Amino acid sequence: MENIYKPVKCEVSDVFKESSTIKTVRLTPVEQFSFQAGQFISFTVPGVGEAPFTPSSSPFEKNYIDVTVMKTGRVTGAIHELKKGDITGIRGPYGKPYPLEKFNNKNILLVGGGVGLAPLRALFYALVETLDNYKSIVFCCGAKTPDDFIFKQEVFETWLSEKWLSSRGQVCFRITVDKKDAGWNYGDGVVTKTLDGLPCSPENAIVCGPPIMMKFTTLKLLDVGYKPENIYLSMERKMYCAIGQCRHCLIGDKFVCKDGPVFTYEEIKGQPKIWA
Amino acid sequence: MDTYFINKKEWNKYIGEKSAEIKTYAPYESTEPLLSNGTQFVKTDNNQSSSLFWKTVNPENVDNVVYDRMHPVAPLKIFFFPFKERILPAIGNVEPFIIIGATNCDLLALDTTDKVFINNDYKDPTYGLRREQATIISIDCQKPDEYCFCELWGNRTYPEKNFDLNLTYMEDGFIVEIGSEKGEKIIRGIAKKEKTAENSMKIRESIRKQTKNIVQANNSKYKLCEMGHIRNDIPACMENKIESPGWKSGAFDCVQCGACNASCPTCVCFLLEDFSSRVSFSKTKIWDYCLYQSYAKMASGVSPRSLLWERYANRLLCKYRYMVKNLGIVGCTGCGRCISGCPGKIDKRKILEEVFKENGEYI
Ligand code: SF4
Ligand code: SF4
Repeated sequence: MENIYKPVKCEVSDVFKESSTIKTVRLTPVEQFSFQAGQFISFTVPGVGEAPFTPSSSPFEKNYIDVTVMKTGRVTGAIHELKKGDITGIRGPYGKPYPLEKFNNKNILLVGGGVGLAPLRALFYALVETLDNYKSIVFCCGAKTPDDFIFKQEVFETWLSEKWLSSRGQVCFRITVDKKDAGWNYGDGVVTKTLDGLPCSPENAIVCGPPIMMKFTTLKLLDVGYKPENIYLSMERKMYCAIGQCRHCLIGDKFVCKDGPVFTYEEIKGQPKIWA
Repeated sequence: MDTYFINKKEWNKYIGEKSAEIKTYAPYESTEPLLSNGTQFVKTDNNQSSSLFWKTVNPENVDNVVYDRMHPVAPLKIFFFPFKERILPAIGNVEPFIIIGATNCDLLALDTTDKVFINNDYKDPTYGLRREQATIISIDCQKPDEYCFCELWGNRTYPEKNFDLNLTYMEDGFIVEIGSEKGEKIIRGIAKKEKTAENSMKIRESIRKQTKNIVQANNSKYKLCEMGHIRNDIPACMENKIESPGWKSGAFDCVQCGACNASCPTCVCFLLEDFSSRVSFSKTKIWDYCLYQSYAKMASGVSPRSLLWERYANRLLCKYRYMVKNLGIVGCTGCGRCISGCPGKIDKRKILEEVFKENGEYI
């Protein structure tokens, strides 16, 4: 029997600097590895340790997997040191994917803050792949400062281009930073501000970002008419095994690794300290 | 299942010989802390002259094995889920071994650890191997200490499942109950045995009753005693008890040592460490303690349980509510180790009473 902790070997094929604290590492697995948007992987730097991440690349991308990582500790620090050609490993995919089938013929609102844009990028690509299934997609992207805004090139040069948007009439973006600078041509103010006067009726909202941002976004969404069961939140907890054994990721009786990592607000609102 | 009577001399001779072939562990009395399976468990309660520690049996010490007391200081889980173990790459092979002296509180806890490590979509690399290779010879408890409270949950002081053989010690010998094929095989290897006489079964009954009485008498001051019936409602009693003065009073004397976690037969939490060089994948699994500040703290420094009372509450909520919800088993068998081993002298029974009372779940 194959050891459940054995990672799939991956070569680092590229590293992109997103901001002063965030990098995207592009991995090429040596064997077939696929995931669905919302599922996560456990990423090993041999000799250092392992940490969970939701890939940021399209689940339809067969050649590589992007992992977008903010430097916060020992393992993420080592990930930031990785260079092209380095060997790493991934286990997974784990957790439940976003329930795309529930979004059919619906308005979808994506709200991402800071490094929280990473899983939403994977989801966005998955949605765009079958765009006709959905009524509308409003993608609200926020960050603290223009420097902290990730995937800049892709967002500004591709997604926001006339060419890209013209054939995708049901997609629109709302871009903001908490604190703008001279070179910033988009909105300013916290991301919850982008939820005022939404162009779509409240149906499904998918939120990912730092805990405080998710908290205020959830409150705001409830305020503008979203139902708790239609607000999807990406939860983060300390995690080791990723398979429901080590119990570190429990939010009350719910495992982030098995029952999540995405929960509806309805599912977790009664549990202790959900915003940590 | 079938029962036999085996004379003590005969049994000791058999076990002595067996222990020379197969690694055999059993409880021994000692006033000194002993190393057991790589983990040091220090006796913390001074109320008894000696505590029980797992030791390796050999033909010389076989006569000193203790068959008539209670559980040893270290929980049975150490034989299957050791304190620290490399699981990637994992050992591929485990030699057969025998454990003598397991008690019902620890055997019941195997339901929890089995559910987590093998009766699951993902099989732990070594736990199952150890379970398969182990022969478990359990005992009826006869001298429970004042911390044992198994009967309060309706758990028995004698094993009903999860054993290969069970021994009830009486003068001159044992009533041996066969619990599995493995156990049956052992019995076949013992030439001198008798079918149990009705009389000895009666003695067994009275021993069991006596032990139950001791546990109940020791716990009579806790109203929980009358609450055996609410066992299945415990999770509901705790439903809204995330914030409770009970937790705060419980945590007041906690020194965050983790003894309650380490000594508990159903605590399964572990962390993974990578001790390898940069060239290969390796993982070591090590027990982790939910009372520690570091347990839930994320790399960002944020923790969902930064306050001590939140961690204290979490341990009990985990046992009595979360495990029931996500494993389908109450995560406490009532062994009492987390009370006897607590340097803060926190008596969980009192804390539970307080919390239940607040919920109006009281007589
Ligand atoms: S044994 Fe007692 S003092 Fe130690 S962590 Fe547990 S509750 Fe706290
Ligand atoms: S919680 Fe305490 S009494 Fe219950 S099984 Fe664990 S150590 Fe024993």
